[in-house]
Amino acid sequence: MELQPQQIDDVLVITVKARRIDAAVAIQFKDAMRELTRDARGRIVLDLNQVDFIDSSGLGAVVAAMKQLENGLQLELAALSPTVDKVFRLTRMDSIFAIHDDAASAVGELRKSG
Amino acid sequence: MNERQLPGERAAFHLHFESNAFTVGEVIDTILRGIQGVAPDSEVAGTVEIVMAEVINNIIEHAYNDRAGQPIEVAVTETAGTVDFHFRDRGRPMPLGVHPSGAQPDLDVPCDQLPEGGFGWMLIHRLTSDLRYWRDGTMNHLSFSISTNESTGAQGHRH
Repeated sequence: MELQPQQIDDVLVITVKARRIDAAVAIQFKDAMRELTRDARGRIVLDLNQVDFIDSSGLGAVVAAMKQLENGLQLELAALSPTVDKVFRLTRMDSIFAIHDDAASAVGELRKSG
Repeated sequence: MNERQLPGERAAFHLHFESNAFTVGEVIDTILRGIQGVAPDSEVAGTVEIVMAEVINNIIEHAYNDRAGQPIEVAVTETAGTVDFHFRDRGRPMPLGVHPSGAQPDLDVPCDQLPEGGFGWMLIHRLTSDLRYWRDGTMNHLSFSISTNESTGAQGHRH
């Protein structure tokens, strides 16, 4: 699984370059996220615009990716497909993560709020 | 894969496949293509995809303890208003002979204690009806229905 990091102003945007985050790639995803976020200081947005589907193992890996962040940093999510959104809402994980319509608006909110 | 169907008859098909975490996506795509009454990319298709992933992952991880190449079979029958599924595998039985309850894991905890599992059966319970598990000799059976009239209040296409 390929994760593409991009620093936009003070926001680290990580784009998941895969159609699925599922049991087959959950551990790989968590490990790759640990590498990419090791030295993170500011906001981190996970851009899911290429992801159509997530299962409960993939959901657990996203939670794990947030828990392994240091200094109490939060993981934010952007561009959820209807099915990914449904999994987050049914498990109530939508109450744990800040969720943005897309990565641009996630970055833009920082600019707006100064 | 699809049986020949006459007008008014119920569409039905069987699919045999092997336990393999890396091909679950392909298996689900095959199942979705076989269901005639559910449009691709519809909200119901998303529901079917979620449930199939959780049920098949559970068989692979727990019944077969992540052993690849083990047999899994599903029979799919379409009725007015539902798609009915019947899964069979030859793995270990469910603990205590029943399927897990699917209770909501506690999210009202500090971030570092958030649950990373326990969501699979919750999703299955929330998205299916008539969920039944039974053991028959060396075989596990799991049957359930998914409504084709969207009722989970999720966003997406409505008809």
